[in-house]
Amino acid sequence: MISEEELIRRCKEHDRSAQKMLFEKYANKMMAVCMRYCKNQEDAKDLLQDGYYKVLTSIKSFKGNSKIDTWMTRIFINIALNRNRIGRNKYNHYEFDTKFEKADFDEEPIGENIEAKIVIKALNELPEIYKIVLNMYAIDGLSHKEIGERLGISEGSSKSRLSRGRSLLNAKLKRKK
Amino acid sequence: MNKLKQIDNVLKKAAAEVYFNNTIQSSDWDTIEHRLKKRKRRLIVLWSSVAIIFSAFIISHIVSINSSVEGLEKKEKAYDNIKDQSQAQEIDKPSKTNLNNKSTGLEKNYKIRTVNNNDQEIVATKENNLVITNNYNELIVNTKLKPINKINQTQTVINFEKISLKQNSKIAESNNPKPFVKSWEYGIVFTPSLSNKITQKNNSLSGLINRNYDRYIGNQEKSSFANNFGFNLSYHISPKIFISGGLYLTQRAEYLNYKYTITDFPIITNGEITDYAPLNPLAYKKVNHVGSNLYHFIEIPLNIGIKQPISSNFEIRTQFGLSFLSLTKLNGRKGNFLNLQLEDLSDLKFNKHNIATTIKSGLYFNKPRFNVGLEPSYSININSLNNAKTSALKTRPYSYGINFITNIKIFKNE
Repeated sequence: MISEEELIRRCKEHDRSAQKMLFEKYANKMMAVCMRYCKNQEDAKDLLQDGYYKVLTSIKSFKGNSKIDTWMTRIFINIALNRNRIGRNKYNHYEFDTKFEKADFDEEPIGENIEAKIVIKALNELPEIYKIVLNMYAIDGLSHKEIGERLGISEGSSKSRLSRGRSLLNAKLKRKK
Repeated sequence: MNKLKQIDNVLKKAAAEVYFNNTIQSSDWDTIEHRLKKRKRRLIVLWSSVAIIFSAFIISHIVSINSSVEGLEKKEKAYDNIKDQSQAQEIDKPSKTNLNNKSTGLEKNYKIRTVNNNDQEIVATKENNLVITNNYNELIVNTKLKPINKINQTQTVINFEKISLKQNSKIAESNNPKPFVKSWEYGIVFTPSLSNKITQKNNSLSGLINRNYDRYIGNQEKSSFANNFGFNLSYHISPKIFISGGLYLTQRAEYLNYKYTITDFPIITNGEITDYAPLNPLAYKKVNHVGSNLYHFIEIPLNIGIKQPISSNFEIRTQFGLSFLSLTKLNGRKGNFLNLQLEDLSDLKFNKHNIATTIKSGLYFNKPRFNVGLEPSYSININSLNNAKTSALKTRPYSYGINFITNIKIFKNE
């Protein structure tokens, strides 16, 4: 088993076997990212291929300032956002909130013992503007500033979308439980 | 609201627990590998083209230098031949043999036709100069003619005292029409042009075009100025036909003048806009943008051309062919077809590799060693610059301009 540094170095030299090892090592994690940013499995697979192609052709720019999977995740997110133009809707959340009733928002927190598949399914059912911000902030660890830059919205909008998204997801999970 | 922060932990935990191993297949890697190989091949083709063009440039330079040296050597050899023959020449009967005495006196011109094997014409002038011409050169031989009486005949012995060689293309042209010699031309080309685009709907995504798109955006995009600059190389294979290529830095452009307010947003169902919902007046978005968008390409053209001389110095050339255009840089902003928002071009997806077709026809001022041309030209992309997967519109940029071109000529068998 070769070290991660060695693996990256060999990928930078276009070593095909190292590139395949990098794919195999992080395919599951990246597929999870793809599934969260796509509407269906077919789109997620396309994104997985596009993402890895981009990762392997631009790996020379990876300076090692972060973990390789964090850097890869950022690339996958950028491609997902650019490819589908998702999450770019700059309208305020209250236009979307008109679609929901008050019962759709629940501020009382749900417990943490919920099956992972149910949580992910509920997340995917959220309107895109909330789902993307929840994904980026809660799971992928981007700051509101980064989210704002990537989605072309203000930090304030990012915060309010996150808050509404949490509330909607909470209500959905309660109903599913 | 903070009490819901724990939902982040639920999400994080769920995301870490969900596995998709069963959805990943070896074919996924095969597809990625195939694309990587294709990219490598594309890079090889691109760099090979660049290498071929530059190699041709360097070779043509070397050939040019060798030709000059060989030319000098040939001229020296020709001069030696003529000198030897002329020195050995004893002309017994001027009227029958090589020396054609046009009159009786030495004060008149003497003419000797093709006595050496270099297709040269030798004329003895009354100034006692022997003028020897071939296609391109005039060899002036300063002679001292000595009439010798020998059994009532005049024998002429030519003694060379001074020989000079000078270029005389006019004599060559008038005495003997110049045969075609295959040649290379290389030089620089600069093309100021007006650029715009042809826009069509992408049928697979046309349902996503905003009802206000044409009024607010499509009709507000006009022609703009662009420039092409590059290196030109052409090979003239026959008196009428040539092939040209090169390497250009090419621009396509568009001028935008957007002035509108977004007052509603589209509602999408099954990938189509089904309705528009009004925005809260506080959320109205004013778009006020004037400027030009520039698309920068590296262009490798391959054209076939015909040429027609119209006078001794001018000819008309017409070229037609295909170009490979690689998109290298984008500058500007553009209105989104769906929500009409202004977006940076760098955020949009465009096809990196494009094919264009070009036609140009113009007037060239031709000299033996160089030419200068002025050619109106028209070029249009064959494929859409917008990516068909993400854009509801297909755009094919075009430009029409005037090529200012100057070339240096290198003759293959010089």
